[in-house]
Amino acid sequence: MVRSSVIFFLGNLLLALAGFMLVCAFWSLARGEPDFIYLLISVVITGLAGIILRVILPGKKDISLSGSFTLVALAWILAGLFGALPFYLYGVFDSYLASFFEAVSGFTTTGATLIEDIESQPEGILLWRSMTQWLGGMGIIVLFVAFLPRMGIRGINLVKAELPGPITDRVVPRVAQMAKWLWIIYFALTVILCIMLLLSGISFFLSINHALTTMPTGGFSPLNDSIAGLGNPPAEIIITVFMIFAGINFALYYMFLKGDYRAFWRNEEFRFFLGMVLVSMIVVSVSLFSFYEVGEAFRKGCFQVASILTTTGYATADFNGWAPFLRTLLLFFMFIGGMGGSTSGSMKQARLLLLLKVAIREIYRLVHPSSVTSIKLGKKVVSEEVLRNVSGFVFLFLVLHVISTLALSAMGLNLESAFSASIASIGNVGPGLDMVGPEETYQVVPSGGRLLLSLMMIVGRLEIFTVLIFFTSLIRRY
Amino acid sequence: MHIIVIGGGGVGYELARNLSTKEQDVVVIEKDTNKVKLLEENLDIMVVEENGASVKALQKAGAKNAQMLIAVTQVDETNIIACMMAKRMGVPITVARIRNQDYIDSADILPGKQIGIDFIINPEKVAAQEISHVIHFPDASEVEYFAEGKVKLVGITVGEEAGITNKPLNDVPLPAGCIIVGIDRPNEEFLVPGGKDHIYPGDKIYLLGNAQLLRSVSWLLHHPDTHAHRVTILGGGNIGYRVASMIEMQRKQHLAVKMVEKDPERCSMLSRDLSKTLVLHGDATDLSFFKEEEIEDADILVVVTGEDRTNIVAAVLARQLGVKKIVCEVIDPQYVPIYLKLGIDSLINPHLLAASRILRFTRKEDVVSLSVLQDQNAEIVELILPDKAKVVGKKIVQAGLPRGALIGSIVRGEEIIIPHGDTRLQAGDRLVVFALPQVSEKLTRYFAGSKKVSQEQKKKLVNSQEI
Repeated sequence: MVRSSVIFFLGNLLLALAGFMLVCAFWSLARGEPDFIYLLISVVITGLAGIILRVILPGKKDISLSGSFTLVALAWILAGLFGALPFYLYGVFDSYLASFFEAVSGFTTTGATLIEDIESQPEGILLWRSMTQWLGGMGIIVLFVAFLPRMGIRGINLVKAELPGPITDRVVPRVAQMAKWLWIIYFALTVILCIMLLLSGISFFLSINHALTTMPTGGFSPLNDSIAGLGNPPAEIIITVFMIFAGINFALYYMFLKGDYRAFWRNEEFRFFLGMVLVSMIVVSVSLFSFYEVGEAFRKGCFQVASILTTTGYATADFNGWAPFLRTLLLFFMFIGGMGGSTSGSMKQARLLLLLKVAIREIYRLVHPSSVTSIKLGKKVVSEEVLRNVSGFVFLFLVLHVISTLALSAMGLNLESAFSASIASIGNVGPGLDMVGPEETYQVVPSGGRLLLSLMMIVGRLEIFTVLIFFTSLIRRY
Repeated sequence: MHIIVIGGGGVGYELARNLSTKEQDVVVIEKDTNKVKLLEENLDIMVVEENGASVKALQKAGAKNAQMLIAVTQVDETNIIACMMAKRMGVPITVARIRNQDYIDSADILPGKQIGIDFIINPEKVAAQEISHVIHFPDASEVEYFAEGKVKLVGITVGEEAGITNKPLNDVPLPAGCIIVGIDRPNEEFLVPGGKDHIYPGDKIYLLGNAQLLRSVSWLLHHPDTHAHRVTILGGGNIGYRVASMIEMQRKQHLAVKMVEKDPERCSMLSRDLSKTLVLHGDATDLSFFKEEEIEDADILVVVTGEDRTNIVAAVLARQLGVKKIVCEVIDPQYVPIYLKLGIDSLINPHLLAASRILRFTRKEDVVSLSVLQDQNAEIVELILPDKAKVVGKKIVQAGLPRGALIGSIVRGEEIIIPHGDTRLQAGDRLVVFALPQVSEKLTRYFAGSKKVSQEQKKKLVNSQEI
């Protein structure tokens, strides 16, 4: 079933991972940290595995349609398995499963952590932890499609499998070029953010790490108290803005750069997203007046809305202690996420918007049974096929959420923790409420639950279908 | 290169496929939702779902920056209008597919510059030309001409009795003026052979050389040349009609032509326009009709009903009745293996032919013509070597051409040279280069002059507007 081309490609992937790990190893060497040797061992293991895979089957280049789903699913699982090596070897965790959870939480840009005392970890490990998020944000496969020449015509399937959202905009003729532009824009925004954080007076190490985890809407922070630990209000505002940037469809940046200055405003999903962000920022901030003084309420309110709505998962305050209304509101934000084609997770604005329109159409139809209406996004008609896909997606998303909530409660978590841990994982948010709140870690989740949540993170990041197709293909004969 | 293709049908699909695998930026404008889906799922291109003859669609497709626009929808008028608009928007080269001869005739009065169409392509005419080449050379399954007819490429399937099999090519007594440029072996990769390679029965070999010398290949096949006297054409569509009228215009060789057409009205129109051809009204897939009209007596049967399934059935019936030479039109390339199994190897794909004629304009070299072999295994590029090309003045061994590319012949003035390793290349040489598709694009590095070739210069290479 697994074709040679898939294996060859996975070999390349491991080699690339080893390369990025090596960067972290050098950082740690330069800083004289104790984890250098462990990172180096990880590099060697990952690199060797990659070379072996490449040597076994120097495959053909074209990948079949089902092969491309297999490839993407396997790539993410392998990335988690090998990405866990530095954590395990250095001894951040005693169990490999915990290391796997941390790595998957990184690559899927979830940001749920098991590390109790983050600040005591060496810099190389922390940089790797942030790096996994950055790589996973725009997508490892998309990176390959961009920079490996001639992925064949299946490139678009691979990109579709990894880029979130119901509709993949084709703004550039060739997939490789599109992938390249997405990464260039992503890289540029990361650099800009890093420089701005430096200017706001944050240390180089912290700036890099936060830039690497903000742009993919990841949420890992090398500080125990997340962004609150920076104690730097201008930086909080900068990060708030960039989290929203990261929640915007990256294709729009491309169109903007190409001189289409109205690209953002013409996009209906963007207007919807912006409206939702602004309204909820005001609502949350005003509700916070009883907790903080006005300026602080706005700062913390806006930050938290951006953080949860884009599924980043940073915290500047322990929102677990906020009023019930706000906690509930944030919990529901976790279901939404940013725009399609952004680096954010969860269901995405476009799907919400489309379902809303479908629902309104159904009401309308009851009154005018013979009416013929087509659903539009912006000025473009959305095909019934896409609408079916969206409904299927949302249904499966909720079903998987229910299943994992049930499983977690069976393992002893209370309702609030189980419910929020489940959505925070499948929606790639990170922190949940109560026992898994922003001040806590996922340590309370038992091993079985960690495995389940790791899986849910990958399912959520790859938008369900890819992984489900992969697993059903394991069972089906053809 | 940014290329806009209007119409994602047969020709458009073929063009987009070929260009996108060569890393060109292709945008296809197509209004049919089903075709859009097919294009988007199978090709690495951008698709705009619009009417191609609208400014909005052209803007969306990036006509501002496009270097070329190829309008190949089914509708002539759409193609003409699209080209006119694109020209106004500043697209340097425009190509329109025009089937209606009335429009092409009028194009002589209005020069291309005024209308905005640089080149006109008529796939049916191209296919008919190709078919008439094969009719005049029935031993071959494929015939191409280069350098104004001086150089010829012949594709032949080698039979059991041929004397050239089972020995190294070095020992095959080929005449001085020709060379074997390719071997197509069933179920194996296409081979650009060296002296040590062998030919086996069942191989299809491609011979390139002096057209005079290659007039006959009987020495190769060990049987006397077949001469066609009776030609039957199944299908009186545009291609069939053109083939028949081309045969009628040939004075030297007298061929008797029968034509079978299903539609009575079309039949009467054909009988009006054709003078020497016997037009029969009947079904090309009806066995009793075949026997009645003695179709099996034809030396060459041309199957051009315009519909793949009808073509296959007709070809199978004819083969059953013992027709030796069958030339068949294939529209969907997926059916090619079926024909090959039946032993029918003269296959004409109008879409592919038209696409390959257009493809030459997308090259950076001074390409005079570009052909793609029937099963798309190799490309033959005919080009003129400019002064500044990298290989000028070098011996061929020193040129370091990539594997899978072969200079088949050089036309220098009136002389035709079959080059050896130590033949020196000169500026102004007209080269016929045989290349596998994956290396075809790399040839630019060796044979292109300056980086930018002016479009005007390119247009000059082709003397007629109709290609």
